[in-house]
Amino acid sequence: MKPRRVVVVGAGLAGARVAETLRARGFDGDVVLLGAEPVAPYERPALSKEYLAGTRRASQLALRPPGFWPSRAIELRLGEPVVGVDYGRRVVVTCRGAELAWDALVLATGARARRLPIDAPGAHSLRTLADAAALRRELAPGRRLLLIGGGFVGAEVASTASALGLEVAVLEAGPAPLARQLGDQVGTVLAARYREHGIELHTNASVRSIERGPTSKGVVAVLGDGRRVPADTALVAVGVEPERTLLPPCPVQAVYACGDVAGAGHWTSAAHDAVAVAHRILGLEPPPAPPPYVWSDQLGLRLQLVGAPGDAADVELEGSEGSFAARYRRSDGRLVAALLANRPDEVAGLRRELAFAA
Amino acid sequence: MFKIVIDRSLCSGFGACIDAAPLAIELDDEGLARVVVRETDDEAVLDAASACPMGAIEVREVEAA
Repeated sequence: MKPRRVVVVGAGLAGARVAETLRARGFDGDVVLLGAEPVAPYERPALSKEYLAGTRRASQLALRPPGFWPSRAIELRLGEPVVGVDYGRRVVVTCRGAELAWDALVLATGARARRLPIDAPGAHSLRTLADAAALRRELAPGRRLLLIGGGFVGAEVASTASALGLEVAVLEAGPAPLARQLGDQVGTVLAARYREHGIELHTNASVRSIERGPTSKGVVAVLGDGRRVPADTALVAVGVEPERTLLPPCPVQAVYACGDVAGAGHWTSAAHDAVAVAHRILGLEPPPAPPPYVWSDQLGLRLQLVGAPGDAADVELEGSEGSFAARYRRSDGRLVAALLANRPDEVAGLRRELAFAA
Repeated sequence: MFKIVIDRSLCSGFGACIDAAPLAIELDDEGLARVVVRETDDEAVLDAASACPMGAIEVREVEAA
């Protein structure tokens, strides 16, 4: 039975893609797309990249032009977070007290920035457009920025801030930046680039506490070994966690989850998940899943990671510091992932190779 | 008719666009996407724009010339 009214909670990439795919596949019932942020669906990955650098404005991040949603009869309700779902009565309740009925419900509530287990007074986090706008106001040349976390977002913000003329320090819990995700060899190459870019990098750094700076201005991070790292502004960039509060405790018929809340973690996975959910709602066969894909602009490198390096037993690194490739293989020699740095011409072939291998 | 505009400064060479719309878009020698035909009535270009993780492809509906 096809539903008549689909309510999509969460207007990020996944939620938006569910709504538009339903229409693209001919669904003519009601589609309601609810967003917690007061902004139409936008490209979140750009927040830590072009938006922060000032090369793309907020209006240039929209996933679709403003006229798209009404032209597809998709009802956008923005700045209206859903506070509860009544699975028995099949309604969602929004922060304004509105009750919206559904006969299919999609939870695409995404993820929120993970917090430190300690107090971090005055520290920023970066997940939403509002977060990015607040952080951007702090990025004045000559100031000192502290990044807690040297993952993808931390590295992107570090390079952007450094290029804007800030002094930047990065605290990384592991032995090298992105070592856990990409391996020690790539981590070592990246660590060298931090230093070349004049970014202060503290590895194996555990943060014991974060204090207000002298005269209550700025912050000081106190590390496990007693070192004190001061800054005017701090950003906590230690990953995300799924926003699962609305999920039902057990599977419910006609209720779907997709995107980061369902553990997508990558742009291509979230986009594909969403397309697949729209197909399932309509009783159609979903298209095959693409290999995972992550990209990052940092330290003068465009990094592109295709596949899942976590399954690899071995890493081969070749090339030079400014243009290299790391290929990740299982113990039987099969390629499971590759990281390309400043090699756009190899990505498309690699994506196909890994799609066939999957 | 659809008009395709590719922002090559955003393009990463991912290549999902050419899988979706091989008649309208190609990858050049540098591995970056460029339009083959500026205007087309091939609806596949909408899928190409959706498939781009970088948001580098803009498709506008225009009046046929």
